[in-house]
Amino acid sequence: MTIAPGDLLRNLALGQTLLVVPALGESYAGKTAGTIAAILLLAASDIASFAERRALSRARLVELLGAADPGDVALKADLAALLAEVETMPDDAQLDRLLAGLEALHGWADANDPALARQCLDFLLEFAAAERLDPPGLAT
Amino acid sequence: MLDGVEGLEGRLSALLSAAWDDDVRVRNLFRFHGGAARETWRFCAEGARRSQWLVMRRDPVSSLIRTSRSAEFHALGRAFAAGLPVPEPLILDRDGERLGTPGFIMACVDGGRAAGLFEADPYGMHARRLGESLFRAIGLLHAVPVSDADRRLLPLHDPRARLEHWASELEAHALGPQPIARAALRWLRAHCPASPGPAALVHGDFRSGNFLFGEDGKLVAILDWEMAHVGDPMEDLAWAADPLWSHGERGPEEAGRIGALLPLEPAIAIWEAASGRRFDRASWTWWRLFAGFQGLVIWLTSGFEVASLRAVDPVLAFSAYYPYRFHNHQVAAMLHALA
Repeated sequence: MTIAPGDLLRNLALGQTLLVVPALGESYAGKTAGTIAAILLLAASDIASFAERRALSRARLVELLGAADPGDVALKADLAALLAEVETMPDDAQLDRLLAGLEALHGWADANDPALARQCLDFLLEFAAAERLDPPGLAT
Repeated sequence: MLDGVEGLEGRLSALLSAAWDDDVRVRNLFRFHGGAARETWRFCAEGARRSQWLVMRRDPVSSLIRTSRSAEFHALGRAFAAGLPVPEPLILDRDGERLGTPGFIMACVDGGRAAGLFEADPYGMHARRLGESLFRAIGLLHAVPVSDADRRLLPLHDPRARLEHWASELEAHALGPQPIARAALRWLRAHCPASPGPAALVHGDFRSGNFLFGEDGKLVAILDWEMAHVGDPMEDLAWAADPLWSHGERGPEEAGRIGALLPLEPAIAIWEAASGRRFDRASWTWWRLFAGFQGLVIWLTSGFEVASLRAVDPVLAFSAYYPYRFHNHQVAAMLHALA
């Protein structure tokens, strides 16, 4: 049986909370152990849907950037090149590259195309809402 | 940490022996957690003629934000002189000759505790009384006339300068694309207000978690003056109202309480009475978005420190994780509502 990464992180957080933090008390080390436990809990929750969320965001961005038709020839060419480049990149690197493309497109749209700017904001709000973390808790 | 406990004891002992003209011993050295921007230590200094509990703050090797201990020492002194509940600043080591890095020593405040970020309703039945004390205190700070010394020793930041300060931090520390922060920056630049009145002494990090309160609801001390500057007092109100510091409650625009203390309207009324200033509704939206943008940049600066392995304190890793994503969403939602 293989323990899932999320379960492993949650177990480590539990160990920090129940074993390490009480032993160290209110000291700097004790408070730091509490912070580590909180980070582990956040990561346990985050990791559960990380790959799925990021894949969805990549797909949405490819769709948005591919459909965008900015009236700026250089920007349009840059986006086309970016989309071609992304196809050859590993998954982890794709999202940052696509977000960089969105950043450029949104900057142009803010000044020139309110409807396109709105589409960029729609994506950003959806993306940020999905990425937001719940406050850490020991319950699964 | 710069040096071990014994090394720091030696530094403090030498500094205080010189200052008190006495043979001072340092005991019960204790490092406070949090306050990721600085190292903060409590200790008891014992000489032949006097003993006193003290607190020392100094620059760490790496930090969330770069600020001046001299400026913090000056701001603390101004607040203390104005009668605000703050620790009395005592000795400044401007260049770090004694403390290893620039820092200062202040009196230790007895009692009180600070609310935790995830603590629900931390002030309970004392929330209203504490909120009244807090917004009266910040109003009193904003009523202090800005002096020549303030202008000489503190950063001078009108709204545009304040925005450009964080814009340059964004440029320096963004390790990857930041489409939400950059969209916010564009909006803030396009809608930057003029300051509504005379400049004020601004705390710069005025929020739940940065003050101590007693079990009876008494405001014990306002802490963490490292981001103090001369600027627009609306900044302090907007930062206090940011939802990150609301302990899970709704935002002030949705009838939630600022920092789980007071709703917006009574907080404003108390602040106006104490400061003699008028709340500027025209710039409130700008300052609220600015608060989220400032938070984003602080947290991504934290991520820069962690990613570059310049810092190992988990507080910095935490800041780059939960608050960063919180503010990314908060700012995106505000921009969406403004569009």
